[in-house]
Amino acid sequence: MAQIMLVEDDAVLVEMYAAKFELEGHETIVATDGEMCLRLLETVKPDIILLDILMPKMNGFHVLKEIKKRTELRNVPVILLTNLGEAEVDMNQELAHALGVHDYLIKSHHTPDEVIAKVKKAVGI
Amino acid sequence: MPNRPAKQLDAAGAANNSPIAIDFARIQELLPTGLLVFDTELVLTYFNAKTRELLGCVDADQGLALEEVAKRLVNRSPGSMAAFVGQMRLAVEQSRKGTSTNTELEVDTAGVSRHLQMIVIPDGAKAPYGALVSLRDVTELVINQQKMAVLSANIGEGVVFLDPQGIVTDCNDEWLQLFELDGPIVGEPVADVLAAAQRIEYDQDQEHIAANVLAGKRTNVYAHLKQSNRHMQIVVTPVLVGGEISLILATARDITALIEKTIEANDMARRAQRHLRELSELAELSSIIGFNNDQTYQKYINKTASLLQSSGVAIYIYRPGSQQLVRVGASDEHLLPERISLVDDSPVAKCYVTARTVGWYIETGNGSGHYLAVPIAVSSKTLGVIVVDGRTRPYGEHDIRLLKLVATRLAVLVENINLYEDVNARRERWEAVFQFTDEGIVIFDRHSRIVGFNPASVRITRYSLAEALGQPFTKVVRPVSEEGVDMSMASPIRKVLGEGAAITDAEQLLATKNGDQVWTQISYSPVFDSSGRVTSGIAIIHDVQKDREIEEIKSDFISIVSHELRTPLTAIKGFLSMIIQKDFGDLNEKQFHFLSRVYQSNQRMIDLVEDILDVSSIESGKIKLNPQPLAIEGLVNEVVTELASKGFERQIMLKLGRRKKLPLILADEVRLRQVMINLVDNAIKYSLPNTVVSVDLKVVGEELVVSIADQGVGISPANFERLFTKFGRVYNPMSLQAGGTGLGLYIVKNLVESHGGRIWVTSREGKGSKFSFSLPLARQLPLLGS
Repeated sequence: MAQIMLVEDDAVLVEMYAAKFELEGHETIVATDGEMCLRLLETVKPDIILLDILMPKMNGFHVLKEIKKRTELRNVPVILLTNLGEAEVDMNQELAHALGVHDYLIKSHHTPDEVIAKVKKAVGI
Repeated sequence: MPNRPAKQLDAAGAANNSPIAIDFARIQELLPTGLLVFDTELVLTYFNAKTRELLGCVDADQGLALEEVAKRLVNRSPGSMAAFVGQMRLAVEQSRKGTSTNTELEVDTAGVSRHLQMIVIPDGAKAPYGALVSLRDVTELVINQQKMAVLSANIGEGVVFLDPQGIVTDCNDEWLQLFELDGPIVGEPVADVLAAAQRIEYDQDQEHIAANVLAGKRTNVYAHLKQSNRHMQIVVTPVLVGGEISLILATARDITALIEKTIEANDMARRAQRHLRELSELAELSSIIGFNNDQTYQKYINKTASLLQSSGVAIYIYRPGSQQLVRVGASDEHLLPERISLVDDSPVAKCYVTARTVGWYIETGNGSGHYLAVPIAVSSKTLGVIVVDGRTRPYGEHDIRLLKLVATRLAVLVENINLYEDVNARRERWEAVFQFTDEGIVIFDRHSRIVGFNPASVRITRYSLAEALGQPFTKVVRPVSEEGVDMSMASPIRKVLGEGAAITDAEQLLATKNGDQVWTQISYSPVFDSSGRVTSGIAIIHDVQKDREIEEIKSDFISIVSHELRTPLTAIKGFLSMIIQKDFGDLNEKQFHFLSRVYQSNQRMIDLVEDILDVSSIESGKIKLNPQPLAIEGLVNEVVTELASKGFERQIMLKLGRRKKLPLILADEVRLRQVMINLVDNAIKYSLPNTVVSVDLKVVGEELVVSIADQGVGISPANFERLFTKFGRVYNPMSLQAGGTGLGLYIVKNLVESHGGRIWVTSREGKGSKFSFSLPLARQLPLLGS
């Protein structure tokens, strides 16, 4: 049982991941853009953050940088969950790892099952 | 008359010592003539002093009889004296009968030889007469006569002596020969003799000649013997004695050779003069240059007309393609047509086709006269024909030679004109290309200064023509890095000029005059002179800024579209996976089966999007490899393990050939994994059930070769090339169920090649295929900086 923050602007994907997480018995906190994510993080401290990159208002990298600035959140694993292309992935992966990301997943490559497996592994349950 | 002095002598001799008689006696002694007097008894009664000299008479001879005197004389001078004395005795005998004799004899007297004229006349009033002998020494005369005879015989000229009436008195053989006269002509009028033998033409009237000679003048006459065509010089000299003409001497010599030589010399001089004029005209022709063709041709026509003294001249040039000779120039009087077809039965066409001189004559009409056509040819290539016409006089060898000389010069000119027009046309075409092409063309000299700059170059660099000309190449075509750092040193212009190297499509970012940056592709080419030295160079600048922008837009477009596709595909995949996993309750068998099909189809779409993105990044060059030394065994193990379950589903066994430890290779791990997955996955897809897919690794030279072999249906060699092209899928019974995007092998090939490797396939239809690729070994790479 973990508290998962899902930062995702696509409502269908939110519904999909949330359905799976709920099914597995996890709590899902949803933020639909970067700013909302950072605002919510002022009040909650999730066990893990699943972070999209391309989002309105503030992109995932900015959000990630802000998160890593906050000492209380530094230990919260962040998994980047994106649909950026392969070429960007190469570039972004490097950047993401430099920013201290836990994992980097391409959404279309993974079923929700596989995602939850990664989450569980990351939070250690 | 002859008797009278004898009488007086006789009387003088009788009248001794009378002063008159003494005078006579002295005179007689001094006479240059020898005198002997015989009386009727033939006793020598008198002889004068000269007789002593001429005959050798001595005082004792006087009073002796003729017989005795004769004996004594012969005794004193033996030899010819005997004959002389004999003759004298005969003459004296004759005179006793009243007959005079006149004899000329040669006689030796005391060793002196003389010619003597002996005149013996009867002395006395009636017979028997005595004899008066007169002796005249004519030795000198005889010698002179002999001299004259020898002279006239050997003089080598014809000599004739005439009396004042023009009657021949003597002539030598030479004269007879010169005038081809048969017989003796002495006693005949010389003019008649000559006129009878020869048709003679004198350079002056015969009356005039006669008048001149009779006036005592030496007269020079030239005569032409018409039959034998010989020329004579006759010198007529009157010999005057006491103001009267006593005889006329005429000498003649054959001057035919002289006259001929003179005529020849004159002729040569005349011809030399003509040649000189022709040569100077031809020289003028050679100096005619210039590219105003009409004018140039006209000059040729005028010169030719003057050289050949022909009023009509025309120049025809063959126009390729038209099968026609076209008149490019003609004098006003020229009458031949403007165009002559080669198939026409025209002497001009014949001249062109046969490349030979043709002459003809038109008898009647406006264009009557002699015509001559000579081909205008240069090194066996006939360019046209030059025609001269309208001459009443036929054209001879010399005219042909002249016209050929003109044609030779004209050929050079025509060839030059053709070349010029050709070059000009080419130049104009190139000029048009230079002006209107979108490619920037910059021409630079040996010192890399700009000497040519076309409008497209102006558009690309923003420097005007005036600003660019004379500037160093890299000051105008300014290479910069993306950060705007000047990269002039990186310009290959030195290499082009220094090494004569050509460089194609070098990507280069340029800074324009107004500070913008523009991506270009520049090709450089050196320009060589005939000895192979680089004299200049040309740079062709292709503005690829737009291409790049379009490429970027395309790439972005693909990326965005792919993105937008990925999100719904992710949703489908995610929801379906949950449903199939029965997260939300049971499914009946059909539902499960069909939803599994939907899931598979969705997965193919996801794969396609991935492949399209890969192809897009490969083609835009965005794919960046991160090659590192890598142990391939681990990676291959992982891939085989990953795909083993898929193989198992299809009853296909994956077999990894075991090897001793392999050297490191140089590769991007992520991409190499992609290559391996692709190839092994393909092998599984195209395998028949219950077969083996084997993966082998081996080192070949400086490369590692990875082979993936299946036991599937195989591929026809005809399709090997096609396999690696975009969407170049080969359709076989397996491909339908195998699925796939048709981009996999294209991507694999590009990734392998990006690593510096190669990929190939071997196959036997019905037996299986083997895909192999090579990768460079890590140790092969030189260390940085070495």
